[in-house]
Amino acid sequence: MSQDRYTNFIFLIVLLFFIQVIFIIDLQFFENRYYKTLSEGNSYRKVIVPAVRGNIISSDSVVIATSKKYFSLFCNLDKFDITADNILNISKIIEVDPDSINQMIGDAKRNNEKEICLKNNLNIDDVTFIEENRNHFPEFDIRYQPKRYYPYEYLYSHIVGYVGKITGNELYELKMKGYSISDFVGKTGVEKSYESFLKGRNGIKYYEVDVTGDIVREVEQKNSLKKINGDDIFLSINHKLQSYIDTIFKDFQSGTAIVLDCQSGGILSLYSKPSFDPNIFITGIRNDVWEYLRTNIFSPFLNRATNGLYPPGSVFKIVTFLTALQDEKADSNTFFQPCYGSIMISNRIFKCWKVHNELNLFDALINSCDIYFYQLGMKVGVDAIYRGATELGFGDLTGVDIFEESRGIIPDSKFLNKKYGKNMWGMGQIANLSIGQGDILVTPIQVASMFLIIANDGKVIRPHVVDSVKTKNGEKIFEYTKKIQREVKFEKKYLKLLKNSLYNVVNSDNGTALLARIDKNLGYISGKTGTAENSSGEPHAWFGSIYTDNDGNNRLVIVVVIENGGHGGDDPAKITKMIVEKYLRIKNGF
Amino acid sequence: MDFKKKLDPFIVLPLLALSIFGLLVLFSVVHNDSISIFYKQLIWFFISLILFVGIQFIPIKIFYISAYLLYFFSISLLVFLKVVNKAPVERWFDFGIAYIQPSEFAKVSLILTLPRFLLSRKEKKDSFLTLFISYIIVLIPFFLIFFQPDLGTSILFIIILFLILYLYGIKFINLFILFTPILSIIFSFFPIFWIFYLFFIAFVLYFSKVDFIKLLKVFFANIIFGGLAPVVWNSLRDYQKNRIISYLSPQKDIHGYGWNLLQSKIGIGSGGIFGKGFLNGTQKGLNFVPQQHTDFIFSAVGEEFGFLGYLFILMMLSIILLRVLYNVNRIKSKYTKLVVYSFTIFIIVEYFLNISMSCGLIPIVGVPLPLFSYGGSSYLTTFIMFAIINRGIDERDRYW
Repeated sequence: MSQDRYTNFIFLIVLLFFIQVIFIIDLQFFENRYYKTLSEGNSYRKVIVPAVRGNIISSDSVVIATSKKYFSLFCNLDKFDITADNILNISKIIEVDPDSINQMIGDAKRNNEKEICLKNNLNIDDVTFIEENRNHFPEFDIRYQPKRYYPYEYLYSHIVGYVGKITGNELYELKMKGYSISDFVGKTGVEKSYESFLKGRNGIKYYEVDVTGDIVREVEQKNSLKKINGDDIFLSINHKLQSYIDTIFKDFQSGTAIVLDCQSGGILSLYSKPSFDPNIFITGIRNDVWEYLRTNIFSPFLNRATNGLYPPGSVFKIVTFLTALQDEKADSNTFFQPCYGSIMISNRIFKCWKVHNELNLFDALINSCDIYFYQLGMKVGVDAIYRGATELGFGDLTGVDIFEESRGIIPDSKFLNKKYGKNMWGMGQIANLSIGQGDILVTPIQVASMFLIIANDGKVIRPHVVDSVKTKNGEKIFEYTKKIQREVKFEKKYLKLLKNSLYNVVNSDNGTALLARIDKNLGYISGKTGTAENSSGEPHAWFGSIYTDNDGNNRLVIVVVIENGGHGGDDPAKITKMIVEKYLRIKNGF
Repeated sequence: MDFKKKLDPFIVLPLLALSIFGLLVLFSVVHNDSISIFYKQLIWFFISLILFVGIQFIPIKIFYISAYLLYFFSISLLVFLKVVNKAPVERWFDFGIAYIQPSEFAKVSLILTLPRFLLSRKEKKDSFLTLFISYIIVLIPFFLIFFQPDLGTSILFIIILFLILYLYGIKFINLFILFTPILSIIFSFFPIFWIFYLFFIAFVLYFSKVDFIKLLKVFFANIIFGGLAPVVWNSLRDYQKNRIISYLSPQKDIHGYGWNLLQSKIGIGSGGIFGKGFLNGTQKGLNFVPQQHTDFIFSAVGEEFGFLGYLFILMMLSIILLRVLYNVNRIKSKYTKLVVYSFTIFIIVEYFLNISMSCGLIPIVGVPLPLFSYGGSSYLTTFIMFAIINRGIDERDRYW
């Protein structure tokens, strides 16, 4: 009997091994490809070597955006067991909001990424803690990597903008260009508009790793890529001037100042207050601080120079003035009902800020007489003013290379029909418009652009902040070349008459901006004040101006807006004078 | 005496082929990090060869006579180990240059002892006492090893018990009765199933016309075992529990025992038909598969030599098995016959269990791959078993 059992037992053995053979055939034949990829993923690790972002440098060679090395914490999702508990644990260790970790994981999954950067600025205690407990965190990898750093914090945030973590949607579009989930992209300002230069190209390295994820050695693979660092951007911004303006603005809550070079259209200074520290987007920001910044009534994230919408006030009289001349609705001998301080239009009383008595066209501009301009505007008509304004660039983008720009609003009869209904508006609206009040909104950069056109005798030049782009080897790959976009239709003689009047606004004794008058040896400033009535309290104070040097060359265009700053002839005019004087000191090497 | 004739080429050559293959694979696994492991194994190989030759001069009868002695000796070693060793895992004697694992020798002594006991009770071979004492003989080393703790080896003892009882010719119903308490252990974790199971036992025994007293005894045994099992479970070390749990959900705990299994499967699966080639495996270095030089060495075989490497092992085992099967019925001594066949099957079962666990077919129990896994004791005992197989076949005509 036991003899049979000996032989029978073989069947059991054969059966068992038969099952095993099938199992192994399944593993090695049918699932071979799957396990092969797993095996490669196991032993090789693809590491993205982030390109160092290009520096942003001012015209006086001050680095205003650079890179600084931070400890970044990366998490390999293949090794990380994604459970709510684990995410909560990690979030406690590194003090990151668990929701944002969830979001990162979601973004990574959608984009087929295997690694996320949990935190960019790991402090040294966390680094030590994680390295000491390496065995507990096989999914972690700490890398010492360069990240964006803004040494002047809030000073340039409205020019340079800021970089922030790439979002899932951005990554989806930029993936083809080699972006990875842990990259930063420019969100606003020059960082955004010159992203393609600044970014460079990420490198890809392959490492052989052991099970703990420790790198054994680097291996060459056909997909390896050398990183290319980003290009350096050279701005037309002058650091000394920008910091000087910052000190001037210490006394004011909010406002903006733009200084343009007349010849090139290069922006020497673009200042907007209040501002924010763009470093917070790299080092992470506490929720309450973010909430405070976001909901602050002074909107620190608003770039007032390009995105701030204000009624232009009397500065807009320039448009009415030019249009009237061009349409031959007025000349030096045009007189209207004299200014007695107020006038009745459409059964409403319209006031002037002063009693001017009888004035001609030029004196009306120099004295900024509202009564005269109400009547002039009504004579010219709303659509003509609209044409004149758009001719000077209002209602449209100036094309400055900071993309956060508003168009503003310039009303025409269609607009007023739509807003008030046909025939439901009248002379009142036109009168208001002709002194830059009512349904009109402009940005300071548009006003600066208008003065640039006036200074250049009608030639339209695009204001810009970036002068040139150089690679890290010093090779110039982009340079701003002055290009006349178009010429405005206003005749040269009228522009000349206008300039003459603007000169007198500052330099004749009855002008409105006497505070902007500078020493005769330095040249002269000509400009126009504005006192823009608005619903938020005190009027916004404007002063737009052109500085001409001793040789008669127009040098600068300066626009200053102080929010709720009262009369444009006061602080803005004073500030303009200080800016010009500082500019000259800088030029002379101080 | 012509020594050459005493060596059966169909046993010795496959044995050597497997040993050399095993040494190659071990070299590949450890050559980067800890080459000393390979050299130690090489020394064990030569010691084993000498021992193999030496055993050819010892008649099986000597083993028969000294079987009980060997058994008691190995049991006292296990007890001694229990007493002297204070480490949490107490499997080895540290002799300074090498570790000796008494449980490996206990396996050999058990396979030598159990047949001797059974053959001494030829007339009452299906009696309760025979079965009971067989159980006791196995359970003593079983529990000593189980609480070392070494789950894999202790399971092998249960396998040895049933293997030998089956080959010896115990009635199926008695094998069934003996096996029921073990199933009771498993079912006791699911009380409702356990009650159904007890009914099932009663049903089978009733229709097998087993007398009532025996039925009661079986029931009693089942209740004892089923009742004690949860107590024993709670006394298990965490890592042992984890091993069992890990089989139930291997993907859950990627860095625990499921990790070993996954990495081992990656190794085997990525090898394909022809393998990545000698020394070309990427899963090794003792890091990906932490126990690759011991329990998980088959993953290196699968990765570097592929399906062909696996087939080679199967072919060598088949040659040995067929050769033993061809000769075993000619062996005149019943004891020799039982021992030779048990050793052969036992080695093959070890291969089966190890490979199956490496590819995830069965739970991970720490069973070494004979002649491949690093470990002197296991290596030596495998050679001792082969030596006795060879000697047994050689003296097949001897009757005693």
